[in-house]
Amino acid sequence: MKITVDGRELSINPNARNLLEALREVGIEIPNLCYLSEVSVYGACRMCLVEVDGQIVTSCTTKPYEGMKVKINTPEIHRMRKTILELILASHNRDCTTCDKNGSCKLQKYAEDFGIREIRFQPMKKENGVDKSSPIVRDSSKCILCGDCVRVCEEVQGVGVIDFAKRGHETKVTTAFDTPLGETECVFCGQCVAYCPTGALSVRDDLDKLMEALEEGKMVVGMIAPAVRTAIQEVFGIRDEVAMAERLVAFLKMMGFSKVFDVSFGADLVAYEEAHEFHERLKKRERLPQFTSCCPAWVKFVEHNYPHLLPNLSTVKSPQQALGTVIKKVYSKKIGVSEDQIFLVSFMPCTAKKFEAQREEHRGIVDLVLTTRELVQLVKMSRVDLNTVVPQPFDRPYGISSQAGLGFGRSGGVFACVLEVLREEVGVVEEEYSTPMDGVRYANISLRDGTKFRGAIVYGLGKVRELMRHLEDFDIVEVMACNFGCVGGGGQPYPNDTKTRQFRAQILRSTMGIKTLVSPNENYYLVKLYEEDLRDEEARHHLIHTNYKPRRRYPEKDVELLPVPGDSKKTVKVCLGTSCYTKGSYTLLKKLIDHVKESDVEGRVEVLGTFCLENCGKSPNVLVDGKLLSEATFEKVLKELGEDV
Amino acid sequence: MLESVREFFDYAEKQKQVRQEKLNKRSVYVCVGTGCTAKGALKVFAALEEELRKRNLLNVELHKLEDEKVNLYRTGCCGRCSSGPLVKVTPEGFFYSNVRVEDVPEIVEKTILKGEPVERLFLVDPKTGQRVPRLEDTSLFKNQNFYIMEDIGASECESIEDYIGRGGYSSLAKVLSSMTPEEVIETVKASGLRGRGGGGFPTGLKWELTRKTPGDVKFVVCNGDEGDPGAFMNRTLLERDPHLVLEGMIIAGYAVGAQKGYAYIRAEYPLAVRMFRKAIEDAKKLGLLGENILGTGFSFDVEVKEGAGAFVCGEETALLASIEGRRGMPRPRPPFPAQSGLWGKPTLINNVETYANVPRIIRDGVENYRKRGTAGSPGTKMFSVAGPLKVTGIIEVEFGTTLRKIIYDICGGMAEGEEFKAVQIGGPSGACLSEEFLDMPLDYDTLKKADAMVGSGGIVVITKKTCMVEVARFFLDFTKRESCGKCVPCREGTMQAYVILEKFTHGKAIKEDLQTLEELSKTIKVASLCGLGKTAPNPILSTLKLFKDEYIAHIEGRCPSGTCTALKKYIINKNLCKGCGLCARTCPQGAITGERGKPYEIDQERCAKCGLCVEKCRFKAIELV
Repeated sequence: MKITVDGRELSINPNARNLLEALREVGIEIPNLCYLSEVSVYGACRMCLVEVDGQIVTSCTTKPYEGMKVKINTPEIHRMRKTILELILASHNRDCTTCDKNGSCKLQKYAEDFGIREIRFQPMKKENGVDKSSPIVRDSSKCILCGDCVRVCEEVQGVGVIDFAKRGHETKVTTAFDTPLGETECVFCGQCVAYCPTGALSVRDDLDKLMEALEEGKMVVGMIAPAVRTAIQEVFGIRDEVAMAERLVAFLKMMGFSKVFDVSFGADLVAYEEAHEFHERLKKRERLPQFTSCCPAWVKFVEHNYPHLLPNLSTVKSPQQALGTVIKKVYSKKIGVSEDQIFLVSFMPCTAKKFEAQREEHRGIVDLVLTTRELVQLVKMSRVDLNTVVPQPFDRPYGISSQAGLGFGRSGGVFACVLEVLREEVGVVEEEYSTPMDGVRYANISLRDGTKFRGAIVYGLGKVRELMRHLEDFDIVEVMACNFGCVGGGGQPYPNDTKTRQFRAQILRSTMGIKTLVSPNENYYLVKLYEEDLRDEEARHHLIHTNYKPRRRYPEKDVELLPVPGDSKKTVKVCLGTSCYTKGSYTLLKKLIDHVKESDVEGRVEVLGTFCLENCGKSPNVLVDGKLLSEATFEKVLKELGEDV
Repeated sequence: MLESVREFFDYAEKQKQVRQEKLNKRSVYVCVGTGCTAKGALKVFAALEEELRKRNLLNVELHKLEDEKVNLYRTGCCGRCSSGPLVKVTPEGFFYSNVRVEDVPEIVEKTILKGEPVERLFLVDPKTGQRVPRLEDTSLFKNQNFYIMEDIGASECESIEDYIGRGGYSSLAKVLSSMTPEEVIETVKASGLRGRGGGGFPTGLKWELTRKTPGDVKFVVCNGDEGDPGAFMNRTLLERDPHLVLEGMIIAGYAVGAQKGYAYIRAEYPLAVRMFRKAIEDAKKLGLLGENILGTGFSFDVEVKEGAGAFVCGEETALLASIEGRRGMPRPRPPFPAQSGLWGKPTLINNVETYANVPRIIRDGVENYRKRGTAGSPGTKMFSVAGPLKVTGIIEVEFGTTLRKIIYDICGGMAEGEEFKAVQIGGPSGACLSEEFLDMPLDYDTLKKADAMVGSGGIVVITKKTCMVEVARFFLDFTKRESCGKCVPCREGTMQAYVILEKFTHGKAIKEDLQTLEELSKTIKVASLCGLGKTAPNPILSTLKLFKDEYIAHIEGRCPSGTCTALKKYIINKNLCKGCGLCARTCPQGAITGERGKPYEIDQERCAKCGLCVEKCRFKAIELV
């Protein structure tokens, strides 16, 4: 398709989503503050104004057509863009020097590009306080209300904990009832931070804690996640560096770290364990599909939204926590240093990892989680030029990993790694993959022992909601909360867009390529760890497995209607929440109680009333021995209870 | 339940006779529009009911007319809100205004029993100042073109029987029995009907687009979110003749192929909401709404959705978001609602008054319809007129009527002691027009040429006592609060424009502010996302164009109309002051000092400009400069 832009004839992609993207593809970036390719078009910043056939329109909402005459540089457009920038800046907290986004802020860049030297309007700083209740810090005085975070949270992640509130100049992005973010269903994936054009959203900076530990003379031990090495190079102008992690090892040693381990080793450990867990479940055909549990945002998402599926999550800890536990509980004994003298720091691409390390069940393991951006900060502070640092290998014994373990850094990595273990131990006869849509892959695997299984590999929590509708089609489901997996984590450097993430995934692939070990089974140190320290099954389970808790919006409090003492019983929980009630759950409950009382099953079936199973769309909901029956009927419940009842 | 079109027409014929009989007999109509209700119409109604019952005159069964009995009806708004409560008595047609409960016995005694008028209650003709027995005799009435409100003063707003007796639902029956949807759309297109919500988009084209967009599920939405300060045409219409609007919606549903309609009415219009809900219920009972309407196989349902008070929800895409249960925020168009509206389905959205025109067009035919109004803007338009005029309220005139006719012939001109300065038309999105525009015909295109707009139809007359900068500030105060907060030019721009205007009214503006204000207004107008923002600067731009001298005066420290407090300056005329000291004792700020017997002085720094001293001074020695 040919269009004319400022008198120049250009050939553009006729299938481009809109004029803005069409021009972007040919190298013309129309200024914009609220446009994201990943989410719906919002059209609010009005910066992308262009003149089409004499009319001023926003290029993000305009479809290009053959012969279109576009003007992107007229005095009127420049004047309006400048006025819009001035308007935004007048209401913006312009403490640029102390801002998290200093140097990577889109608004700051435009202010510079457009030569804003004076603001004609009255400064109106919005003071709504800073929400520091979670790893994600929200400062609305810097919010320009572009809505990127709102749309990413809702459309990409399917979480939707933030939205606009109030009107006019008082409009703000906030949670329901202004609840601190830490107390909401936010999964701390940090995708809002990744896309925020200003410093309104940032990640809690914990570097001071590292400094404190170093100053206290503790034995500071570091571990670096796979995805960190792919992204940090962007900031320092290094390209395609496959030895980045090793440079970082050397750097951290300079900073005073005693040991630096590779989280990929933890990944090998996790995959090895998880593969066995999966194979067991598959043989018994129980708690399927098995959900991966490496992604803490995904785990929290399940805890909030699908509490009845918690048993499906793999009980294996995430690589961070598994390796952390090994370091704190096993390694410390080996080297004869007391656990509390070790200060364990993990470098992660992820904001949710900060939350994970603080979970009750993981306390005392990882002392500090620093994101890639905090590591960047440390490098910058140190004035060390990473280019000049001679790479050093990770410390033993947790310093080597397989290709597959390193692959955890991108979507599909966990699945592939688990499959590698199965390939080694059982053998894979056939594998077949399909990609029904961006971000979703299906796998059909036949094992040598005759078992077959189906897997789904998903990134972006929003897509999970759709997958949940046909879970029965799968035996194993890998979910990474962030698009493209950990390489696109909320703690990665800016820009953190699709293009950058794809690029990082590529670097990771190259880095994997030079690894000599393919499967975790070949990892000598891992085999040794199992032989020496994890031989005892109970001890192993205690060390590298964990459990989860439902985080329903309503606390789990059941009403005992027909209690039965003891364990040998079947339990029926009927939801009495508003939605289920209006769909007849109360009548169903009464019918069940009558049935139990009248038939000879009294004493074997316990009936409870419960409150909101968070599945209101398919009410009424009934849990029979933990299994959710949606759109439940009396007959459905009886059928589930089985013939003996 | 009417099961066929034939059954309907039989029923309608019967209702026509009943209605005619009512008008020929002794009937009393009490206006229960919001204006009259606020002034006590319901009490007057109750008093009349009691008085008639006491005298055993009340006809309890309203539809069985008895010769010796009196029928008492509630009627919809007559437009003369400032003179309410209004009562009309037939068959004489005496029209009483400002009726109080105490007047009831006299009305019963004289008019109802003897057919004699109570002259002191007659409506005053604003033009002549004379009391006139009948509404129809006033210049107020004669200069209007009642068409949508044709049964003014003698319709029962709550009765579907009365509506049918007035010819109501006959258009629907005609459409369903003898016209294809395409024919209906052609008729509406040929009528030249344009959207009464303000923009003036050709209604027929909208219908056609909705019809032609493929889809099994389609919606019809009635925009009754009338939010302009000073505008109440839609409210009046919904209250006085809900069935007229409903009938229009059903016809539209048939024409575009929709199954469901939503009437989005402001929750602040409780009476309109109640009336419309009742209308829906009554229509359903008669088989005029719901499944298989009049046995024709066409099914259509309508639901009322109450708006929660956001002005922006008058913007169609925001309104649709609100119906869907989302935050009322506009989205970029295209796609237009006709292509992708409610829940992504093709949706026809028209204003209350637009729908009300449809049954008339079908009834009278295109040619007759087009006899009213101008070639480009056919038909009539309801306007709400406010300001210091002799008469204010709702009026209906044909397009092309001049402002002069409205202000001087219909509303009787300016109230005592007031002098015309400007007229604000179209609410906060409208413009201020000066005296030179008085003879401009009011229609969509002419107004547009004058950078103004019909808007929803609010006309506010501004006098010499009002500061035009203050008028702009007032409207911007409204729009800045009502901006949904989505796009930058509107959210931030209206706020900053307000701040600059406030600088003017506070006497703190400098010359540069004038340029900033103008440039900012132009950016808001062009760059905003929706109609709210695009029109928000109109009050500024029009006053800047026509009353720039007032802005300049404010920079120089004067407010020509003496409205802006900050620019007022009170001084004591030394020649007139007797030194009594009364002003000094009155001044709450202690700003006046002096020695008894000698002229006092005002400390300008301390003066709060309250003007109390002026009122107190017996020698008129304190002057406002």
